Amino acid sequence: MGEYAVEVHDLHKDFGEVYAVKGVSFNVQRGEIFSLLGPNGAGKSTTISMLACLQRPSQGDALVMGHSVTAVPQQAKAALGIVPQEIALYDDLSARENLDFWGKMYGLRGAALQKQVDDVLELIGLTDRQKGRIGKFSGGMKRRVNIGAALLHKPDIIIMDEPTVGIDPQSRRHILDGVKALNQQGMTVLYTTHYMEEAQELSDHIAIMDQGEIIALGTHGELVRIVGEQDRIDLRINAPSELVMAHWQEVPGVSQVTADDGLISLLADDSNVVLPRLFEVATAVNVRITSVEIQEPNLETVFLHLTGRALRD
Amino acid sequence: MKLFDIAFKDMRQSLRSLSGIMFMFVVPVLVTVLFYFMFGGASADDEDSFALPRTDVLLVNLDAGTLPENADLSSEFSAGQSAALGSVTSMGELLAQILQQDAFADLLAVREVDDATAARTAVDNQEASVAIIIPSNFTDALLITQETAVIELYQDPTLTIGPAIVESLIKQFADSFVSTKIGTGVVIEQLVKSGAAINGALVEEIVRKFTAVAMESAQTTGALINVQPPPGANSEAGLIGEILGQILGGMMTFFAFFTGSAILQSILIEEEQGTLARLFTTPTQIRTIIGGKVTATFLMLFVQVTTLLLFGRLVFKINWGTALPIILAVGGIIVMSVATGLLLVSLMKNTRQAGVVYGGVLTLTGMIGMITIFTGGGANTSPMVRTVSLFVPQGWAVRGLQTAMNGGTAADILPTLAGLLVWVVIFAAIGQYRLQRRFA
Ligand SMILES: Nc1ncnc2c1ncn2[C@@H]1O[C@H](COP(=O)(O)OP(=O)(O)OP(=O)(O)O)[C@@H](O)[C@H]1O
Ligand SMILES: [Mg+2]
Repeated sequence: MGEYAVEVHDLHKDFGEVYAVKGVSFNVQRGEIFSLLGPNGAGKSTTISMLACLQRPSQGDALVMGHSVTAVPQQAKAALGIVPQEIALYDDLSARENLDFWGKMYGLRGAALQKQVDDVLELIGLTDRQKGRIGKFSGGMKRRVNIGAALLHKPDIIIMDEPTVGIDPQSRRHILDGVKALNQQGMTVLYTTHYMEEAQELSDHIAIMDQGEIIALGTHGELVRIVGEQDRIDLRINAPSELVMAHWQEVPGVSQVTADDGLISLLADDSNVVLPRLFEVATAVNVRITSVEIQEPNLETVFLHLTGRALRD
Repeated sequence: MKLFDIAFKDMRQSLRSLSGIMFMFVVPVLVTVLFYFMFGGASADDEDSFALPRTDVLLVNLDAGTLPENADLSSEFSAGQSAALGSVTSMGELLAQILQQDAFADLLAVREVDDATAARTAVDNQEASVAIIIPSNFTDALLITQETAVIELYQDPTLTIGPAIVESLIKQFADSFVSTKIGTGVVIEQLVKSGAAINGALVEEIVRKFTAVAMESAQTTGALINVQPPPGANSEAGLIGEILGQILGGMMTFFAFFTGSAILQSILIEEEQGTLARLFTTPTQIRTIIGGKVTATFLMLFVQVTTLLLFGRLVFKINWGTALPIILAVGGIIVMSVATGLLLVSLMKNTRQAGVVYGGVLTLTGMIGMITIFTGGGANTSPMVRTVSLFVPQGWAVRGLQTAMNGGTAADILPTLAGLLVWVVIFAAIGQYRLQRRFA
């Protein structure tokens, strides 16, 4: 068995005309948290469903704890806990009945199963509500059970596909802390998200995905250094953005001017130097700047730098 | 075993679904009760909560014969019986009196008329349900060997229950006399062979004795209305049980197919809710998942059918037949329902499509299959109708049940079961193959 928990070699997946994943390769080290960060439609879920042996790669292969997902899927599956992006539970069964069932599907039985169910209920903070039907749970509670169901068999690797989508901040905090706790117990985590804060907070390594490809991979520090020391400046003006964009592009030290729904974003080598020039240019064409925000380099900036598009929704 | 884990999970879900319970247990019983009331059973006695509708009978007694020896037969009867019968002068009159006994007053409203043609017209005009026309040679035919007589039953073809009761009563009556006649003939023959002198008085005496015995049995068995062979059936409940049994049995079969399809439809529901994909991320084989769902369907159908059979037995006093035939018949219903469900679910794209198609297909084929039930069931059904019902799986399923209820033996059911298994094998093979391929 190699040193990696997951090895992905040149995975491809096409759905007829649609190329969802176009040659993705990365390695997840044992015991780390690895994030796939990318916007909607980047191909994160498709990549994960190939690792989970749900979809056959059109090309390429992946090893999970050394087991090929194409050659020996049953072994690969047993090493994995999968938290699907959409909640996949039985609404008409209670939280405990759900966990009980999913535990059995991983081959647990009897006292060992009951202990695991108790432990997982404790971990997801739903011991008190274990008899409640899932259908009556809040979105956050469902998400927690959705995660719990993947933990019962104490997998070597847990794969979580956007586990915090559409939930309240409190549940989200609970989940992020839970992920870190699991990781500290030695579980390898493969995490997907389109929130750069989550990737930044959790991950040892991050792969940024866009349009079916990994466009950058490294630690948070390594990725941020791609854009150098550039700041991102977000501005709003009282006129159509086209009036100033071309002019601002000409300003020395400015790169990547983009506009999205009235918000103009640009990358600047040094905002202290660039900002006064932006105001001058605006005044020259009779446009007022109504708001300015300066952001230190982060993953958002990296994505903008690499794709010319914003990462957020 | 994961297969049973999946099966029990599915059963638990079905038992928690209100609509599932409704279709499995409540609707079949409700429909049975509804049909029962439609047949006019609403006039319930206090004594017996399930009384039959009264049948209007026109009796045309053309019997011209007379009983031997002035026929005061009352001496041969117990006091109560002779009081009920009074004195009769012909067999036609005797039959008329039997039909008009108080014991049948709840079942039959008998009116005697003189003209056979008028009686038939009355039935045609639906003024009466059935006309009984006793031929002029009725007494002679019963008492003199070599002669035959035919009682004509002229009935409203849209009705089944009333005429069936009348027919059954007359059959009993006739049967007891036919055996008398044979007995009489044999006795006379033996006397001749032994060379004894035969005079008219002796023959008449023999005939008189046999007739008296036969009448007694006609009277008692007639009161029993033991229409069909099933043992243990007694009193009015036997006949009511048979009619309700036909309906409840039909409803049970009809809705068993819905149960089978509904539970197997969980494959589509799970596919749409993502739990099927999640199952595939666990180390569980596709055939285990399908096998679990098939097992759940078997078990739920078993629960459904047993409950309905028991309910019918305890509440409606339905006689379902003897153990082995009914087990075979019910087994046939169950496997056919499962196989049909498997085939249907394998042909559906999603639950929306399934909702529409299941409702339409299962209702239509179910009604075709149940056609023998609603045309009177059992022996009265025309061969054409029987054949039509065998174009659908439900027809085969219900046929086995009817055979069992009509007193058939295991051997009588086997041909039906064999035909049914052909369907099962084809349906299950296609269903299994398509599902395996779809989720592979
Ligand atoms: N079964 C499928 N058939 C056709 N196209 C598909 C299928 N599954 C995914 N796609 C397409 O593949 C691309 C990648 O989808 P995928 O779900 O992997 O993205 P994602 O990164 O998980 O996005 P999100 O953040 O919205 O979950 C999308 O364009 C999607 O429309
Ligand atoms: Mg996704």
